[in-house]
Amino acid sequence: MVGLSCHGVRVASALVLGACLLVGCSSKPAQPTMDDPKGFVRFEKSHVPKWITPDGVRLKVRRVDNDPRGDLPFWMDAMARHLDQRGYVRLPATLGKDATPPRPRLEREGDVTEAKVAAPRCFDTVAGLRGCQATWLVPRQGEDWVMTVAVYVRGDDIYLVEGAGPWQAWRPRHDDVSAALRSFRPPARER
Amino acid sequence: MTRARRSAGPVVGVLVGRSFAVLLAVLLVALLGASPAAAAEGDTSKAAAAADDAAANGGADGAAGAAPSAKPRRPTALSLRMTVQVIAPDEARAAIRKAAEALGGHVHLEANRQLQLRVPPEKLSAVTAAAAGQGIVLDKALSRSDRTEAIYQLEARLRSKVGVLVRMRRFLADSDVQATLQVERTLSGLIAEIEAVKGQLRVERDKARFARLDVSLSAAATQKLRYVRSPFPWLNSVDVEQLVRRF
Repeated sequence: MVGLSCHGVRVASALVLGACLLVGCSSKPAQPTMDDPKGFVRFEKSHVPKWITPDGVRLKVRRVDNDPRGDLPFWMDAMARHLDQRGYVRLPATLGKDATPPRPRLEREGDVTEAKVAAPRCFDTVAGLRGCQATWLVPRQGEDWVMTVAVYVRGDDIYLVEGAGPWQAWRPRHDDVSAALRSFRPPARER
Repeated sequence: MTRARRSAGPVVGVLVGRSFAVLLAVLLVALLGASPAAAAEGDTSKAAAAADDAAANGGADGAAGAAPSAKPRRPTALSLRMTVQVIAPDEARAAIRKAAEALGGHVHLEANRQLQLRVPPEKLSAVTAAAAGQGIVLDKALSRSDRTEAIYQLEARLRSKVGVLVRMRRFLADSDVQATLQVERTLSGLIAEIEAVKGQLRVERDKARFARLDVSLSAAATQKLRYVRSPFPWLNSVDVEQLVRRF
């Protein structure tokens, strides 16, 4: 009796799992959308929206849980503090044509004070969602890299649009990426 | 034939005798003329000496630093070596070069982590401050060297040689072919010596006219990322390396 019931449970579990997999494969979760920034091409087969340029500037959208539940200023502040602590150097919202990477100033041996801290750029998307974008200069493999993060908060979800690329490649595309961020649309809410 | 020998004999004898006398005089003057006292006699050498003195004093004006100008300043060669720790050596080097050029200096040597500059002595502290402003000064050493004695010695040598040159030229007027050739040879050697002394004098005066600033740039390994753990889990995934690798 016991043996039979165990077998039955196994079969039932396998059926449920198979059914779940089938359902999961067929129904792709809704993804946020965003216009292609100028000069970027989109990975059409990717399950998350992501773009790339010929010189390797990357842009990607992802969702994380809004847990603990915070609002947009809270998360922008937390992210800025965290990345500042890690040694990222914040950049201004706009990077001029002839902009050069800002440098931290050496005050004493071993001490580095950050370059002038730039405030994040906040805006409303065309869909009416509030978003903020902050940009950093990051050393990577002996090169200056730029990393930008746009944050949108909606209920239990935080949407991040993250982009990164070498300074020389990123700088001329910064404004195009910033413009595209306004077209961000989260997926429709499930009913 | 014999008649010709007889008639040419006294003429050749006189010519040889005169040539010998001229050569003897040339050698005597060359020996005596080497001393600065003998050189002071020529008018040309006096004029040259006056010009040299003026130039030497002019060159020394800036070299003595900020001392009051009541008495003539001594020509001083300033040399400053410094090592600066910077974050971006290329940008720091460009900024230091720009500052030096704006203050009347010029680049003597430029390499990846090294910059040798020549700057007017009175601008040395300003250029040094510009270099120090690029980062942290790890070491600095200033040296001064009084060039007065070296310059005066070279000037004296120049005066004496110019004096000899002037006197030797007088011999050319009443010397025969052989003596003229000998004088010409001596003159050309003397001119080469004069040019060499002039070159040395120019180098010494330049040492006083431009201070030497050697800047070594050392890259600070300060822009490395630190691994700080955030209490908010998703923030730990916001990272350039993760974005590139998991793209």
